[in-house]
Amino acid sequence: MSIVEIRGLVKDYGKVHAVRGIDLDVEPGEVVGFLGPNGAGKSTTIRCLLDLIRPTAGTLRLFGADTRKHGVAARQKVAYVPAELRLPPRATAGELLDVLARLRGDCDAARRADVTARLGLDPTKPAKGLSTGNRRKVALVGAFMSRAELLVLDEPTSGLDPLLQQVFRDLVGEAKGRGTAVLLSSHSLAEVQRTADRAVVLRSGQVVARGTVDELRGTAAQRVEAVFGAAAPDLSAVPGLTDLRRDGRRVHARFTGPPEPLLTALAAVRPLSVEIAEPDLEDAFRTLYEEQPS
Amino acid sequence: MTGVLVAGAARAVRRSWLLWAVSLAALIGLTTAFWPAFRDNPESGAAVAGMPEGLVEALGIEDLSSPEGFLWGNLYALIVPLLMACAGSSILTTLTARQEDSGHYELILTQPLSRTAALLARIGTATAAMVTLGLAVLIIQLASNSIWELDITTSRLAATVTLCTLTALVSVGACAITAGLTPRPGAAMAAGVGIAVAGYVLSALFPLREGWENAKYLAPWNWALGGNPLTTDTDPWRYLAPLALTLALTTAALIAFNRRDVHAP
Repeated sequence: MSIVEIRGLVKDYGKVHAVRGIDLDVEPGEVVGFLGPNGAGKSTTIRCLLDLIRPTAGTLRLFGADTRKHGVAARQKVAYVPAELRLPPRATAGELLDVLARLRGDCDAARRADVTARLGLDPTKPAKGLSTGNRRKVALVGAFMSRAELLVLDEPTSGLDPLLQQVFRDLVGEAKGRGTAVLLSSHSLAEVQRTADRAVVLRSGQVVARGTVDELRGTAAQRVEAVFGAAAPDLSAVPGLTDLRRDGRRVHARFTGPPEPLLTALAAVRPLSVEIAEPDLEDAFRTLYEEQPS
Repeated sequence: MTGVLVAGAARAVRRSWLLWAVSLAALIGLTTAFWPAFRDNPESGAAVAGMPEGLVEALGIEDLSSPEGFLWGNLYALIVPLLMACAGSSILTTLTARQEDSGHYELILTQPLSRTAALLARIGTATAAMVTLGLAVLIIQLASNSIWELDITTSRLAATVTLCTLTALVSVGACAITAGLTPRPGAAMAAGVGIAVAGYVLSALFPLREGWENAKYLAPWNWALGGNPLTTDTDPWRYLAPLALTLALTTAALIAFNRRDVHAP
């Protein structure tokens, strides 16, 4: 049984189609990256899943239960970090975490203390004085102190410095080690690449790609750069080579498909050096977006 | 779970409640302090002698020289119930539409609790706030009566304050149904205050025009306060009707809130 099972999710706001038929599964113990630029429909999908907003069409299940009819029981196993956390101004971070702990009833005090210390959160500070990063820390402590079986994290590292982003990745790794599934919504490709087992890429409310991070990288164009002893030859006839740019003795291009035609062509013109860079998710992301009409 | 929700809601409005309680106490204390001047001045009724009878009745100032008439005309015909309605509307708007508009609902409603529990805890907190505010009004009025030797039947005063509280609870209900339908704080506040103001206008001013007298029966304000509670025993229906309307509005608010999207930033 999938922990998260979304089928044919549609959400319209009047004439605006925020989500247009999304299917999504999250299995126990896996980290799924939910990628897309701002406005792609990530937060809308998550809010439908958590029953904050009601779908126009489609079915949503958490732990096998309909999120509308059995949402309370299902959310007992879910902890959530919203994209933008607004907190009552007068309460301190510690008081807010106390309230969350009492509402959930499944929080681990030792884990709370550990995560609070690792993120460097001062629990005595009033919420109104907290920076964006510190508010994010409150939400992260609130999520990671629970014994939830699913963490839904919406842009969880925005506002955190690189050191804390590493702490966050460690926390996700530890949660995964405990068997907790993670749905990680982000527009940061590097974050998903470092953290997720699988990624689902959204654009304009639709899924444009899904697969393991390696599979998505496999669909991406590799960056190719070759240096020659004389003026760079014309390689435009090589299948799979795009964005070709000649710069004196250098050739820059992007390459997709089987490498044999490229290697044969390069061997024939005897370059001084060739660099074919491993594509990262950012390349895959760009490729996907360029291939899909909006 | 309910205790946590109510405690959180109570903490959010305790300052506001205190401000309303102090304001009402000041109003009641200062107004009652003028009683000896009215009591000892036989000409105090002359000021209204030239005013149209309907208007005098609408303002509740027919008999300012009796203790009941003095309190009714200066406090309980309009200003105290209206201020209590404003307090109830303000407190419930803060707990519902304003919190939702500010984005505070997102984290709460993604916890393992139902929307019904979350909203009911807030309406319950606002109701408790109004009941305690009514109690504070009664205590302050009794204390002021004692200080300024204003002799009035305690049971009738308690009935009047109870009816003012029920009028305020109708405003809480109007506020709740609006907050159940939309996360706009301005709309919720306007509904709560609006039903009180409209109720007063229907109850006190519409009867001034010939043929419009029966419009007052549409007003919850009139149901509660239309029976001169300081001078006569109040019929039970005057308690039950506003209470029933409040319950109906609360039920409708819960249904509406369960059907719509929750606002998130």
